[in-house]
Amino acid sequence: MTELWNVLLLQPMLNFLIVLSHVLFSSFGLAVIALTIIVRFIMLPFTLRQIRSTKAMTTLQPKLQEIQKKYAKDKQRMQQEVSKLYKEGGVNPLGCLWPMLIQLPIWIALYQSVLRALAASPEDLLHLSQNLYPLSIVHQAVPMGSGFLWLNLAIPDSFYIMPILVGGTMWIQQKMMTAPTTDPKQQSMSRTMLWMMPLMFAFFTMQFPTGLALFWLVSNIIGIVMQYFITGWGGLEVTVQRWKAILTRAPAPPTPAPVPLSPITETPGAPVPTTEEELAPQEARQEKRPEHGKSGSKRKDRRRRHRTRPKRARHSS
Amino acid sequence: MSEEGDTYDVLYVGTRGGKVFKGILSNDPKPHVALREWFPERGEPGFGAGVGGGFLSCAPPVPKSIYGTPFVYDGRVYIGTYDGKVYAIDAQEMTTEINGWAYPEKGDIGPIVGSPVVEDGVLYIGSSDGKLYALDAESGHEVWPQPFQTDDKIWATPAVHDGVVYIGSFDQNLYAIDAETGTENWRFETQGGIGSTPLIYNNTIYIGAFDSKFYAINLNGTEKWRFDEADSWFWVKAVVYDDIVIAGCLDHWVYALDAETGDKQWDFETLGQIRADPVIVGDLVIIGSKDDKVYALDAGTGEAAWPAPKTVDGHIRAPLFAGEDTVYVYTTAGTLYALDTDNGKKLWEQVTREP
Repeated sequence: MTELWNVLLLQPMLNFLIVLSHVLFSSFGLAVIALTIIVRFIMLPFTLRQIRSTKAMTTLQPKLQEIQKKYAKDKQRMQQEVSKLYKEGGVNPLGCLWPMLIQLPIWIALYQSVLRALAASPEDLLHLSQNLYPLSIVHQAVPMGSGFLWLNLAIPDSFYIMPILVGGTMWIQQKMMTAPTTDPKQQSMSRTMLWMMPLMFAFFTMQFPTGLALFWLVSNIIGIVMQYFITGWGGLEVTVQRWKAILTRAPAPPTPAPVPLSPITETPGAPVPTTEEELAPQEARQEKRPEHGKSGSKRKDRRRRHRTRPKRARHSS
Repeated sequence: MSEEGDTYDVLYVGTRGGKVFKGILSNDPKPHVALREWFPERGEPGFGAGVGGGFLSCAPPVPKSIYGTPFVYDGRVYIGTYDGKVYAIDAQEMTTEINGWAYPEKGDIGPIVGSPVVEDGVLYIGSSDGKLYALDAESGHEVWPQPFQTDDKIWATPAVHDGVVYIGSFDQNLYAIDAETGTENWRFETQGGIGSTPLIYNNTIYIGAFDSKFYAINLNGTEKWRFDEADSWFWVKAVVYDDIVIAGCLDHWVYALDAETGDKQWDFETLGQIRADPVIVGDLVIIGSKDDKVYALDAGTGEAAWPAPKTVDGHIRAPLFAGEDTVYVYTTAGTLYALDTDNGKKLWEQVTREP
């Protein structure tokens, strides 16, 4: 099994990484960035599918919760209603799982390749030699130099910049993916996930060679960009608006209320919303409306006037 | 492994656990080994900083593994550790407190993988920071105005010959450096990193590289010949027997080449990578392979000299050491074997449990 894994996944990726390093000015850092981008690009169809499936599942959550609440005492009926809901919504509950499962071995192989290629100790280098193709370009490129920018890719970042970057980008990605909910359980879980994952990876970054942290960082950045183009800022919308407000000195938008549970008596068979507009939480849409309307602007103006008046009064006295 | 003794033989073994074992070999009343051990103080301030384990870092500190072979000189045992320190230990008392020193006193010089070599009272050692250091063997003070800098890690062991230090670097160059001043005389470029120690014989330097080629280089830095039939890296020091240079390779093969022309005299296949330096004992070349076997071959013909190769417990990565009619083998399982060179029979074994 190990042999099969090595031959099919690890060795091709490892050798490709080494060739990339040779081509990219003998820079292992650039090779890691390039390989992460390439792998991400190859995996794009699966990633898109996964994001869309997750998005569709999120949209059905309110209805799902309503069913669970309504048929809490009748498990069989609940199952039937849930299946019906999935069927009507055209959603496969495992739809977001299998693209992830397909990607998982690729990520593990990429992770192993980065770690193996660095070969920090004699044992690692000996192990690396067993996984190289008999190509002169490959053998000429190893052992690879581990310097990149201010970093030594073979050891943890002693300036702690990479842990901050990895943790920060992961937090942004997590925040973008977090959907508002009224369920206290889910809220608590989302909050835990939002902080746990970034902190965990920041901790790993302090433990592992920086080459691996570089892979996580690039992967996170690509993930953020992809997420932005598919779902927009998502859960980060409010934070972004606040920052915009701070930067432009405009009043910050109020925190949106969580999505209310939708009544399950909605027209059965209604299509699952797929566009960004359709998928945006109802409250968020409601909030946006007044900004475009006249009355909203008037209210804003009135608020501004109220705030500035006392200041002027203090100055004059 | 290194050996020194007056009325008895003493073996010094460095381990990956960061210990140096002193094995006193005695035949009275029967062959046995008495072990004493030394290990560096742990947890000193700033230990491993920059390599892991520094201030606020949650990373485990880099182990004080000893990959190189201890060098015994003038009553001291010298070693380099993977956490970037060079130590001089009193050979008798096994301590740095008396008669010993540590370099640098504070901080580290990057992981050391190669072995130290002492010549005319000067210790030479390379480090992963790409520098070759020359230290006074007595005091541990730097001898050159500054260490010799290469463009990549140095994991190889230097060789000193006629006032010149020869060292290979992962930057794919073999350097010839003036031993007195630390300045470069010349460099010879290969197409792969160099991790092995040069063999100097008959005014020629013999060395293999990670480009799967084995080179013979004149003392003025010009190429004499190269052997390019191997399929993997050369990462061991070659040995010489009767004008035949014998080198083990990670492609599992042992190659015997004519020292003058580079023509292949014989070859022999083992079932594993050859990473341990072989030794010559009498007319035999003894080889340890990653297949956990010790092979004894007729150095002139390449024919197997023992009825069967000797199987040991653990991989053989440490250089073999030749005694009189005895070869010492240390394995990754932490066992030291003494084998009879006549037939490969085990004379004794000592378990240290330190890989």
